Amino acid sequence: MSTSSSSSKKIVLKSADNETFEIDEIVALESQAIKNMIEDECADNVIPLGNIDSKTLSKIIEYCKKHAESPKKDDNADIDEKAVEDLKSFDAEFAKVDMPLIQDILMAANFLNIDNLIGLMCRTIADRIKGKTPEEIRKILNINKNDLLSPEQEAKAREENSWAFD
Amino acid sequence: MSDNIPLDVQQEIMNRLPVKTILVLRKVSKIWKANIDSQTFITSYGARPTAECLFNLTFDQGYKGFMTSVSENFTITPLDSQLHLAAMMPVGNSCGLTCFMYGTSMMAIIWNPSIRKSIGIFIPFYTNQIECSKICFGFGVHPNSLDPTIVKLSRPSLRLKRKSQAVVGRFIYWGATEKDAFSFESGHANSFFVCKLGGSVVISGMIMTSEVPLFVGWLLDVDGASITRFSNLFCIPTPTVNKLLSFTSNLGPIVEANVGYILGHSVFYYDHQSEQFAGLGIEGNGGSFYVAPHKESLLLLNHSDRALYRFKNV
Repeated sequence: MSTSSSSSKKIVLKSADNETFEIDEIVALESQAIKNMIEDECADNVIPLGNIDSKTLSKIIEYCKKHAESPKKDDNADIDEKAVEDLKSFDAEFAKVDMPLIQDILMAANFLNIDNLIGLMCRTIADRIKGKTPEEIRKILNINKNDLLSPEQEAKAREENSWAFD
Repeated sequence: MSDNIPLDVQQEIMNRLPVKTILVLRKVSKIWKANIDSQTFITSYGARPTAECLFNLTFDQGYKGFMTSVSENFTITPLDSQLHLAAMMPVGNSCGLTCFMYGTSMMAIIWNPSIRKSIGIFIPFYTNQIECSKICFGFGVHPNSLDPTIVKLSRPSLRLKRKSQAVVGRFIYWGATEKDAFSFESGHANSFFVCKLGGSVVISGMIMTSEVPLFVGWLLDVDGASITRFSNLFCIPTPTVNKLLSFTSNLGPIVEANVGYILGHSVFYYDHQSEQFAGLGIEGNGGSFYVAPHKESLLLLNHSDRALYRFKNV
């Protein structure tokens, strides 16, 4: 599948660190938030994304490009299985990044309202904390020390469901 | 960083986790705990079937009560409920919660095996109806709000069977007989029971034919108070079945049966392919077996374990 880059409309995204990314409109439309902006005609040529850094943004664009190129499920029911498999392995590879970046992507995807990407990041985080101890989860999620339960609260929570901590 | 994850995104993550991990997450931080304990999340998490447990089985052996968890391939794991099961009569189950009556119907106990938590509710004695000795209880969980609901019926006009009810959607269905007339062959109507199968109700029991006793089940598609379809589900020639308890994952009946012990009964499941009953190896008092299909949920999580609730008399 080729994208006719010359004829299609371009959108420019600007990251928090002032880097600009020129992408096809069709790629930008993966984001429900940008789609709404374009439809409401309140998008200028350059869309500033003041809370997304360039590293995160380039990952998100990589994701949107791949998903925009792939045939959509609701387009027709019998899209070839290969494309589905291809997208699946892309997603799996895409998610193989460290936790801070996963969280940054998740926050940005939430802001840009990209449903599939939110789902993928949530699934990745869920898979990484499944079966871990509270201490390990705190490390993975980088929980603020001020937000920990008091020792009494923690003892109570443990006592309530002691079997879950085996 | 995770402090910034909005609550709805936290919930998206937790929606992809089993109950056991969520209980661990509850200890991770104040924000996660508060989010998990909120009724909004508990309701949106819902009740889901799990791979590890197909149903929970309660039964008595002599004067002792037992609870076990049974998996799809019939692995049996004892479940320590810390409940005085021998004094508890199962009323009904819905969305993974089971309701029991304790003692002489003075208290209802609602039990969630997936978080191993129970609460007790004293049943108010006075109701708007005339109180009488014939009282029947029902239990169901509202499909949308997931509110556990106990129904108390005083002197029902029909003879409602205890331990024989099915919750489908917003309705509780009972097995019942008319007071002075048996609807099936005279004398045998007592042995008909109802249970749930998917979104339908199954009524089952033994029919004595002149040649061979038959264990028969019918599938009732229901829409509120009307039956939209009525079809035969199975018809198995066997002399020993006492009661249909539930179904295996490939729709084989799970039954309580008498296998020749003087008092003891046992649990069997029927395999359609071999046309044979196979035993689970669990023996107990006749009539004490009760099966609650398992679903895991966080219902009751925001109550303290063994909390007691008392309502002002109505």
